[in-house]
Amino acid sequence: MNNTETQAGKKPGISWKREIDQIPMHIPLFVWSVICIFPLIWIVITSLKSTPELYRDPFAFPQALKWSNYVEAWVYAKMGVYFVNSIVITLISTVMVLFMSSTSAFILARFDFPFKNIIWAYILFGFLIPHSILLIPLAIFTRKLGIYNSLFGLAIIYSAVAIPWNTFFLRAFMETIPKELEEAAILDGADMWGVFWNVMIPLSQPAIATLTIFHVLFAWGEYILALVLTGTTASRTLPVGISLLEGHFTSNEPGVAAGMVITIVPVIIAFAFLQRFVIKGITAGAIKA
Amino acid sequence: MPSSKKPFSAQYGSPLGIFLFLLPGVGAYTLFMLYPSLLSLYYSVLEWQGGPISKAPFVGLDNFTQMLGDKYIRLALGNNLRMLTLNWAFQLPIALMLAYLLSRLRRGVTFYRFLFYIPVILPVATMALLWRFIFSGNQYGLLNNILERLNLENLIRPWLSGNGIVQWTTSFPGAYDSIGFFIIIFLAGLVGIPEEQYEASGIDGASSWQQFLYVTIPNMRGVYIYAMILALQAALGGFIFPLLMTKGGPLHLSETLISYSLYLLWEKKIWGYGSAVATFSFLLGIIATALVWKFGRRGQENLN
Repeated sequence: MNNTETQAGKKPGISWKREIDQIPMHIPLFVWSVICIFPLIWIVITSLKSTPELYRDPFAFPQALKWSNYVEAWVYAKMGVYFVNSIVITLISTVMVLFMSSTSAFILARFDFPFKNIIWAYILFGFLIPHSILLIPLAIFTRKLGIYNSLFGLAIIYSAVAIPWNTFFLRAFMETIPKELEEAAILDGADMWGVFWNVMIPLSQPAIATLTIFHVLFAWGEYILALVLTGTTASRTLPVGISLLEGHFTSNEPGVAAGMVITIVPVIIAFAFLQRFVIKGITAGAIKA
Repeated sequence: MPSSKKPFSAQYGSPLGIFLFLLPGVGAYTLFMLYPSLLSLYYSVLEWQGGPISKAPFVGLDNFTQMLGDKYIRLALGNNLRMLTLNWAFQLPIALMLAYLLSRLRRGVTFYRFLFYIPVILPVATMALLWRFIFSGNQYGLLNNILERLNLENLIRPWLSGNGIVQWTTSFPGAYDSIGFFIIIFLAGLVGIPEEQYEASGIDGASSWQQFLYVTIPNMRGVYIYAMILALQAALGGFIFPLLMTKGGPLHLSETLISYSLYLLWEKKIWGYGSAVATFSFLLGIIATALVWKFGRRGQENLN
């Protein structure tokens, strides 16, 4: 963690004084790190306690690890079902939003046609629409379409609300791709789909990677649309499931904590591996603005 | 394209192809985002309490004038403004300071950045539960336990039910939650500041605090206004923590505009008025954003 001194010794050419000067800066950063990480550690510890242990001392370690909390959360409180639902919805909606956004972005980045700017403004208008004003209309409308309370229905809505941002990001990226490869493909007889699928998509991999992790984090954690558009265990996702845990577990808070760990672990793992893509995405958004 | 200098792309882009490529994205966006948002505007001018919409009478702006006399609207708006206060006075300054430290750091930036971002990526429903554990009045309530251990029993409060307290305990998590996000945004801005400006001021004998004031802050203006707008929108549209921590209670004390509209929609089934409250929140966000943008730019011009 605060290993300035130990590393400085190994690297020649860095003055000791400059490294020691850095130590005061590490203090607030270290404190904030603890604030960010402590709650996670507390949840994990609590998830392995018994209820009396938690009530006796919320900060103590458990005497024996109570793994059965996880079994109860997974089976009895249906977190297992919600977990699978969340995975299905996340996968379907990520594939859908990437497909729908990249096809639109390809057209907007590469072709001229009537009303192009109007269509672009029309898509960007979506940035202004908060999800909260969609709830009632969607609750009614999805029932009419027969996709209320279905995994596919929620997945397509997750994709749809993410189209403006994904299209914006992909168009900006595609415009930076040089046109030579496309021209070569066209000379080889490629049609629009051929250029899109064999040239643009492979060259857009970095942008697609960034958008994938963003959408996965969004779909995994989204709460309010999922609450409003699902109604039974069969189609609920983890965030909704976890908000119902307390009803399932009267005075079994460690069981609730186990449910929280189940929800959180995949996110931490995904983020640990794909951190740089997240940073890239936020940074790009900030610079565009 | 009548132009003689045809772009090469026109050679393979047929109008039908362009239409078919645009259709999935534009279609899904229109159907599930734009169209419902327009419906919401439409619902807000109806007197509609469930039942078939065709029987709901059109009442013009009555729902909006009704809000003027609704004391829960004032309570809710107050909580949105508390969120805005915390976001602007706590969240952004903390994020800027931490980002500044990270930008001056030679080692460990990636490590800290990873940890700082964790609260942002955690599903908000789990964060809300966590905050309930922290503020709980039960024996395991973390905050009360800490206060007890520090012999500060007199500071123990009913964090999630006391009037004048619950409004802040449900506003704070949203501010804390996004600090990591703003750190990344600010860091991107900070590393873009030319190093020569720091070196020049260093030669002139400026302390690092003076450098922060006279080099960093002026250079960060544009990014900071962008961050203020995002934080503003989050505050005026905020509802998730009150909803999940207290359901807007007790007695609607911790309600925000959106959580109140959800209460009207789901608990009271007043769909017309509830939609109007959501629409009001949405319009308020747009107007406030435009104002910040305008004044931010004017300040920028005065500076130059």
